[in-house]
Amino acid sequence: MSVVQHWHRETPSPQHGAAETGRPEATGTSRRRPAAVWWRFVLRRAGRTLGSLFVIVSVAFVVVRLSAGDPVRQALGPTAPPSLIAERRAQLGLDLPLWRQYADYLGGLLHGDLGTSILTGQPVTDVVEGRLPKSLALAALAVLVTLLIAVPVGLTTAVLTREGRRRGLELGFNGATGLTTAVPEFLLGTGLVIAFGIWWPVLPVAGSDSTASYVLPVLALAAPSSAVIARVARVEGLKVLGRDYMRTARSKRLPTATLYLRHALPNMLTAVLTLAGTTAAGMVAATALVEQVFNWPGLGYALIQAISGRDYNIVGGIALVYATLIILINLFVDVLLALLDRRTTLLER
Amino acid sequence: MPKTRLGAAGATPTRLLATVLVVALVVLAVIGPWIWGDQARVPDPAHLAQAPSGAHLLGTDNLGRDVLARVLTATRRSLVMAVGATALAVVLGALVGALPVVLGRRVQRVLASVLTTWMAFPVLLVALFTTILLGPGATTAVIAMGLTMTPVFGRLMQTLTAGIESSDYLVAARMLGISRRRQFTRYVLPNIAEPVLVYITLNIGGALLALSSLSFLGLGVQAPDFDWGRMLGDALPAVYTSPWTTVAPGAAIVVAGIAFGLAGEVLAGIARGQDSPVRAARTPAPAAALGTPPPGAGEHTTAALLTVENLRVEFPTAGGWTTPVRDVSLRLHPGEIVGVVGESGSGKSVTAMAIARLTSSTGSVRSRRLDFDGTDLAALSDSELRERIGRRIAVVFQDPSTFLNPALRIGTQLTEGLPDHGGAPAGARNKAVQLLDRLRITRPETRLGQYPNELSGGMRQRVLIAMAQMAEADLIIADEPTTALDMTVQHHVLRTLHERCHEDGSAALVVSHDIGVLTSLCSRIVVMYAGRVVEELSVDALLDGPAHPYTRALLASLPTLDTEVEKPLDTIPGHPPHPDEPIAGCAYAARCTRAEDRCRTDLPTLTPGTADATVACWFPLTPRTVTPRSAT
Amino acid sequence: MSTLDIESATVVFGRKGAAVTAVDDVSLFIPSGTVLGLVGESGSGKSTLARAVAGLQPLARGRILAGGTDIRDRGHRRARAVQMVFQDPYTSLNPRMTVGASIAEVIRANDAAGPGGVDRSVAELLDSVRLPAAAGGRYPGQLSGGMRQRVAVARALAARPKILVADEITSALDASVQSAVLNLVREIHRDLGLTILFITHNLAVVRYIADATAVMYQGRIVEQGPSHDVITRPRHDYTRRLIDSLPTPGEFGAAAV
Repeated sequence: MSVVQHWHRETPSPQHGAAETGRPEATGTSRRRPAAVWWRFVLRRAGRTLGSLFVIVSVAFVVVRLSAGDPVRQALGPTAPPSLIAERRAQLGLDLPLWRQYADYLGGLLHGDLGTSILTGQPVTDVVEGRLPKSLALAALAVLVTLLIAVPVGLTTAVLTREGRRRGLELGFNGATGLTTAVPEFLLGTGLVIAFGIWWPVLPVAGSDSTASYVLPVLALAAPSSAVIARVARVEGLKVLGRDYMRTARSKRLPTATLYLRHALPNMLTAVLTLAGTTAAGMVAATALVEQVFNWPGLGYALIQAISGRDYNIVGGIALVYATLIILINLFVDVLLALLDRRTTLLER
Repeated sequence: MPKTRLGAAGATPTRLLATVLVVALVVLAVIGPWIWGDQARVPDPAHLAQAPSGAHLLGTDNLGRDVLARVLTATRRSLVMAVGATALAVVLGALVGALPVVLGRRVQRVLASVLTTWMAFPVLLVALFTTILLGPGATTAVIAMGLTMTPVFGRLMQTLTAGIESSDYLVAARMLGISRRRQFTRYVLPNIAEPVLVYITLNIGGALLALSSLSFLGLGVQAPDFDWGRMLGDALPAVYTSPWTTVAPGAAIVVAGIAFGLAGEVLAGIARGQDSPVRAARTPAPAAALGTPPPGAGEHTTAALLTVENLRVEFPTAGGWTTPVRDVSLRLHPGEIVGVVGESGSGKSVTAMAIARLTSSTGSVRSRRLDFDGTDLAALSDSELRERIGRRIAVVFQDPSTFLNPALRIGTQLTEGLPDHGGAPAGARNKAVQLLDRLRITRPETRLGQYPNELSGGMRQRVLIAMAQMAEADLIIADEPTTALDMTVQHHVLRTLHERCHEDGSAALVVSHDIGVLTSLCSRIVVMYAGRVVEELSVDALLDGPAHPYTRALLASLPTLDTEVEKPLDTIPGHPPHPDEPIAGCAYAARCTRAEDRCRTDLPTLTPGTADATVACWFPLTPRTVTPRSAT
Repeated sequence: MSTLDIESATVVFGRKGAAVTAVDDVSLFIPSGTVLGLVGESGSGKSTLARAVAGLQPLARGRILAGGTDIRDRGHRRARAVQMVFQDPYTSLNPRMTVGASIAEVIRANDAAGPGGVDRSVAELLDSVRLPAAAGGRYPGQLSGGMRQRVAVARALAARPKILVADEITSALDASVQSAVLNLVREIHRDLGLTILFITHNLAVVRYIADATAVMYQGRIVEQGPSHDVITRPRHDYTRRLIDSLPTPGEFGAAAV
C-alpha cells in the first residue's frame, strides 16, 4: 500500500520504466498489494495442478484401456474359460460403452476408488493403503538425509573454492560426486546387498521388520542424489558468492560469519528449496527400484509385480498415486518458494 | 609464458581420461558382438554358475555363459539404446522448445504450455504408460526414456532460445527480412548448439543409467536379449550363490556413466572457455619489474591521505596472465575529490578496486607503495584490514540494482558493520534516517524496513552513497557512481556526493568514463590509457588545454553544446588496445597524430609539465593552443 | 525520399488492470531527408517509439506512415523501407556469422544486389561505412565496438531503407570512437538522403546531428522544434531541467584544497 504511493512520488513514471527496458524494477505488479499478488499466484498454481492431474488421470484411463489386446484375457491367460472372462469383464465394467467406463472411472476416483485388480479382484486402494506408508517413509528419510548432507557440503565447498581457490578440493569434490553420480540407486543397492548380505552381515538386507532395515535402502537412495544435489548446491553457492552485492558486503569489512550467514545464505535459500523439491519428486520414483532390490514391502514392489503379471489396473492405479504425490510436492515447493520470495523476485516477475 | 588455449588444453588428464573412455566404449560397441557374441549367447551346461577362473575370468552365469563375454557384447545394445533415447529427446525437444521462437507468439505460447504439462508428468509415469501401451521391450524403453527426457531438452532449448529471441540480432534479422527457415538454421541453432551439445553428452550417461534401471526392473530389454541392466536384474535372485555375476555389468554401467559424465564436463569446460585457468593459476605471476617511481616518490608528505606508487594488477586467464593495470601512481589529500577517467580497458575500475583491496583473490596486486593514512594497505591481512581500516574506506559501486542485497532490508544494509554498532543500534538507525533524509529520500523511516526492489534506481544509488556515509569514511572510492542513472538523477547524486565530502571532510576517488561528470565534481583528474596514467592535471589545467595528445583529442572529439554544427567532429583513429596486447613504447602511439619513432619503442614516464600537471608523453602539447570548442 | 509521419501513436504494455502506457498519443512529422532527434531519459518511451516505427512493436492506437503508406501494410513490410540500428553492437550482430555473410544475407533476402553481384555489394556497403573489404571475413567477436556499430549500419543499409531509426547508437561505445560513428551518420545522411529518427539521451549529440529535436517525457512529447531553439530557448520545464542537469566544469565548486 504505502510502498506504492510514495514510489510514485519519487519516480514520476515507474510504469514507463518497466515498459521501456522490458526489465521492470519493481513496477506493474507492485502497484497491487504484495499479498494479493501472492494469493493470485497460489490460486493460479493450484489451478494448473488440478489441470495436470486431470490430464494425467485421463491419459491413464486411455492408456490402460488401449493396452494391447484384452486386459482380462491377458491377465488370466489363454487357458481361462470364457465364462470366467465374461464374468470378470462384467465385474470390472468392461462391457459398458467407453464413455460410461470413463465416467465411472472419474466418479470412482472422486470417491477414492482406484479400480480393482484384474487378477485377484482386490481393490487397488487396499494394495496402496498397506504399502504407501512404507514407501513414503523410505522416500522421506532419504530426502532428509540427502538434504542434510548435500546442501551443507555443497555450500561449504562453494565458500572454500570461491574465485578458484583450493583447486585440489574442487577436483576432489568433483571427482567424488561424479563417481557417486555414476552409480545408480539399484546398483548401489545390489552392492550393499552383497556386502552386508554375504561379507559383513550386521544389517538386514531385506524386508522392513526393524528400524535397522531402513539403513541400507535409505543409503542406496540418498547417496546418488546427495552427489547430484551437492554439486548443484555448490554451483548455486558460487553464483551467489559472485554477485555484486557480495562485493558491497566485503567492502564493509564484515566478519566472515556475517558475510556468509547474513548476506549469502538467504540468497541461496531459493535454490536450495527448488533442489529439495526436485529431490523429493525424484526420490518417490527411485523407491520403486530400491524396494525391488531390498524386497521392501512398498508400493514400488507391488508395482513391479503388477507389471510382470500384466495387471494393468494395478499399474495404472499405483502410477496415479505416484503422479499425484509428485505433482503435490511440486505444488508445495512452488508455493513455499513464492512465500519466501514475496519481497524479492516474485514482485519482479 | 603465454600458451594458446588449445595447446594448454590438449594435455589435461581429465580430457585424456574422458576421451579414452568414450573411444573405448564406442570401439567395444562396434566390435563387441562380432568377437564375443557367440560365446555370450551359447549356454554351457557343463559350467553352470562357476566362480571366476582362468577359463572364465569373471565366471559364468546360471546357464553357463561367460559373464565377461556377455558384458562386452552388451556394450552395443546398452549404448545404442542410450544414444537412441537421447536422440529422440533432442529432436522432439528442439521441435517443442527451439522451433517456436521463429514461429511467432501464438505458437510459442501453446507449445510452452504443452511443455509445462509435459514436465509435470513424472518420469516413472511416462515409462509405465509407454510400457502399458506398447508392452515391455527394448524399443518401449527407448521411446519411454526419450519421451521422459524430451521436456528437459525442450525446457533447456526454450530457455536458451528465449535469450536469443530477445537478442537484438534475431530482432534485426526479422526486421531485415530474413526467412524463418534461415532465422532458425543460421541464428537460433548455431547459438544454442554449444550448451545443447554439452547437455546431450551428459544425458547419454543419464539415459544409460536410467535404461539399465528399466531393464533391471524387467521393463526394458527382454530375454534372450540382454543389456547391462538386464544382466544385473537376472543376477539379483542368485546374488547369494553367485555374486560375481553382478560385478561385471555393475562395473560396466559405472564406467559408462563416468565416461559420459566426464566427457560432458570437459565439453562444458571448453564451451565456457574455463578449462585451463587451473593451469594458469598455478603458473606464478610474471615478476615483471614495477615501473620507475613517480615524481616525488618516497617523499613522506604528511598531508597525503592515500599514496599509490607503481600499482600493477594481473589476473590469470586461459592464455596466461593479463595486466589491466600496468603502472599507476596517484595521491589523494584529505577532503580532496580526484577523478580517474578512461575508456573500457583502461584499468580505471581495477585500479579503484585494488586500492579498496577488493580484487579477486586469484589476481596479483603489487605496488611500491599503497599507503592509507600511514598504514601499508598491501601488508594487511583480511582480519587486520577489518580491525585497522574497517570502514574508513568506503566504496560506492556502479550499479545500484545489483550491488544491494535483495534479501536484506535497507536498514540492515545501512547500519551493519559500523564501528560502534554493538553499542548503540538505535543511534545507527537514527543516523541512517538522517542521512536518507538529507539525501532527499522521502519517508526515510519506512525505507529502512523496505527491500531494495521496492526502491527506484535513483533511490538505490543514494542508499549506496548513504552506506558510504554511515561509516564517516575518510576515503570514498566511487566506481562509475552515476553511469546507471538518468541525467537529472545524476545531477542530484553528484551534488550529494560533493556535499557529503565537503561537510565531512572525506576525500573521494571517483572513477568514470565521462570526463564531463568528473570536471564538474573533481579538483584533479587522472587520465588513464591502457593500464597507465598518461596525464594528471587540475581541472583548470584541463580547461586550459591538456598536454597529452590523448586527453586533448578525447576532449576535442566530444560534442558539446558549443560544437560547430557545420564541421565534422574531430575523431581519434583506431580503437583502444586490448589489455593483453604487448606494447612497446607509448600505448597511444598507434592512434596519435604526433607520434614519432621514439614513441613506438620507448615508454614515456610521468614527468612534471606545468605547475599543476604531470604528463607521460615525449612530445607534449603546450596549454592554450587548444581550439575554443574543445573545452567541455 | 520518404517522410515519416507518426499520428497519435500509443503503445500499451500488459493486460487490463496492469496495463501500462509507454507511448501516449505521440504525433511527430519528419520531413523527407531530415534528421529528427528524440531525447528523453530511460523510461520516457523513446525506445519503445523507435521500435514501433521499425515495426517491432504494435500500436494500441494511432498509425505510422512511411512515405505515405502505413507501415503495417503488407507491401510496405515487404519493401523494408524502415530499418533500425540498435544501441548495443555487441548483441545486434549474429556472433556465429561473419559480418560479410550477415550483410550478404540481407542483400539476398531483399534482392538488393547491385550490378556487380552480392559480393561486390557487400564490399561497397563496407566501404560506405569506412571499413575495409577484408573486414567482411571477420566474426563480430574479432571487431572492436566502433567497427561493429559500423557493420550494423552497413547491414541496415543493405536492405535499402528510406528511413533509418538510430536508437542510442553511440551510448555503448567508447568515448574515443563515438565521434567517428556520429560523423558516419552525417555522411550517410548527406550521401543517401535518408530520413533519420535519431534517439539519444545526450543533448549535445542531438544538437549536433539533428535538424529538429523532440523531447519525450513520461510517454509524451513535451516539446519539439528546431534543435537550436529547443536547446537555447527551452520552453517546457522538463527540457530546462534536462539542460540544467548537464555537468559543467567546477559546477560544485570543487577547488583544490
